[in-house]
Order: sequence, then structure tokens, then C-alpha cells
Amino acid sequence: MREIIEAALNLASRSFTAELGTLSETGSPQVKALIKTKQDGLNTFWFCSNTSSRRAAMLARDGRACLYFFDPKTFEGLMLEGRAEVTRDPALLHGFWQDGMERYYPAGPDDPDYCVIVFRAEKGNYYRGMKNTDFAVE
Amino acid sequence: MQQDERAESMLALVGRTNLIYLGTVFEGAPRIKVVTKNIHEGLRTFRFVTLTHRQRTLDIRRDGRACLYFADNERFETLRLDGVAAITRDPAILQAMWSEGMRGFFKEGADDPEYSAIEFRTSGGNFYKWPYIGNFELVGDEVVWKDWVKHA
Repeated sequence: MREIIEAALNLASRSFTAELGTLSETGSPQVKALIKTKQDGLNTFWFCSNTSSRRAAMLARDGRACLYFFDPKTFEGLMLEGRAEVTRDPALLHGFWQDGMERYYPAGPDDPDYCVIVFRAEKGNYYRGMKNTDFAVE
Repeated sequence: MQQDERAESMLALVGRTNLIYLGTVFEGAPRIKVVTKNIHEGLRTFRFVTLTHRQRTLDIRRDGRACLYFADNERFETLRLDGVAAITRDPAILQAMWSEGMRGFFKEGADDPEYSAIEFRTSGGNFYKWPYIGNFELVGDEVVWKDWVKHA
């Protein structure tokens, strides 16, 4: 199992983007690619986003979410299931701020449309080839 | 960008994308898997090979709400199709999707009991083509735009 979790962590760590799954107002699934800003193991992932986005509204209503990582070269996939929330914690907004982001958030790190999505994993499913393994994220 | 150009761009994105993200729902929570495109009819119907007893097949049997997500990160284009997925073992569909290369997975060929298809039918979606984004409904084969605006 340790090898599986290490392979899963390796896949998530080398991925530039992740697909975030959320639920619409009718409970239907929605998928969107996000650029990964930061991660802590397989436990927690952070993404910069827009407060006014549909994604933020969906998460405010229903925090159930999943993240998906896939490498087409090795045919490895990882799905993490858990919860996501939107935060405007100034320490995170300022900590993640980079030059060039004013293109999206003209008022800088305190721009009201700038927010951070925090995803916390509870369990994972890693597959490579035809082999699937479920594991808990602790 | 004119109406037909948008629809053409969506079809072109579908045409050049082989790995597609499939969103499903399990016990009220979202799930994502990658599927490989096999057959599609415009934006209306998509079919994918699956295994009869694979988890995503069982998930779809329980709750058919689904979406497909196509992403071309180099051209800044993404397409999400919303709709309903179903599992079928219709022999005509399975036969049409069959290729001999699949025998590694399905030893008994197109009649193998483990061979099933996911059939996805689109009701609408969201298309992003930098710098624009819009939502649409699919009425018959016609794309009816609800909005199309410049995205920040």
C-alpha cells in the first residue's frame, strides 16, 4: 500500500493542473481544470480562483468535491474525494500572490474577486493499467 | 465570432480530443474518470467502452447524471457537456465499437459479458474559447446560445 500512495503522491506532485469535480445547483456533476497553486502531500490542495465564479457559488452551496490527476504518458490516474471550500484568508491571498496576477485581479491581492479554493482529501483511488486501489487519506 | 463558428470550434475540439474527463455522481458526491472516445455523433451522443463490473459502470447505473469535459490547454479552449449517461449492452452498439485490439480485455469478443458501453446524451454545456465564454442548450442538433461574453 505504501508504494501505491507514493505513486499517487508522485502523480499529484508532478501535475501542473488538476480537474476539480463539484455539484451544480441540481446535483449534477461539473468538471473544470484548475492550475495547482500549492499542495500538502495528498491531504490538502490550494487553487487561486474568482469569488464571482460559478465554481465558488457551487462550493458555497455544497462542498462535496473531488480532484482528478491523470498522466497520459504512463496511463496513471488518481481521484481524491473530499470537500472543498472558498476562502479569502488574507494570509493565503497575499502568500499566493504573484506578479502578473493583476491581469485577473486589478486591485491586487485584496481584490474582492480574488479567492482561494482549499480542497481536503478524505480518500483516494489510484489506478495504473487495469489495477485500481482504494485508500484512505490520513 | 459567429454562431456556426462557435459550433464548428466545439466540434473541432471534440474531434482532436481523445482523452475526455467523465464526471458522475456517487451517493451525492462528484466523481471523475478519464474515458477514451470511441464513437460520437456531433455533440449529441458519445459512446465509450467500459467494463460491466467496473465501479464507474455501477455508478452510472445508479445515477445517470453526468458531464464530459474536453480541455485543450495549448489553445485555451475547454468544453463541458452536461447530460445523462446510461450503460448499454445493445449488440449493435457493441459490435459497431468493436476492434480486434480490444480482445486483450474481452476474450470472448463483442459478446463478452464484461464488455459494455457508456452512452452519453448531451443536453447543453459551456464553451470557453479565449477570451470568450458561453452557455448553450442543445435542441435536436442545434446549438442554442444562452449567453456569450468576454471572460476576464
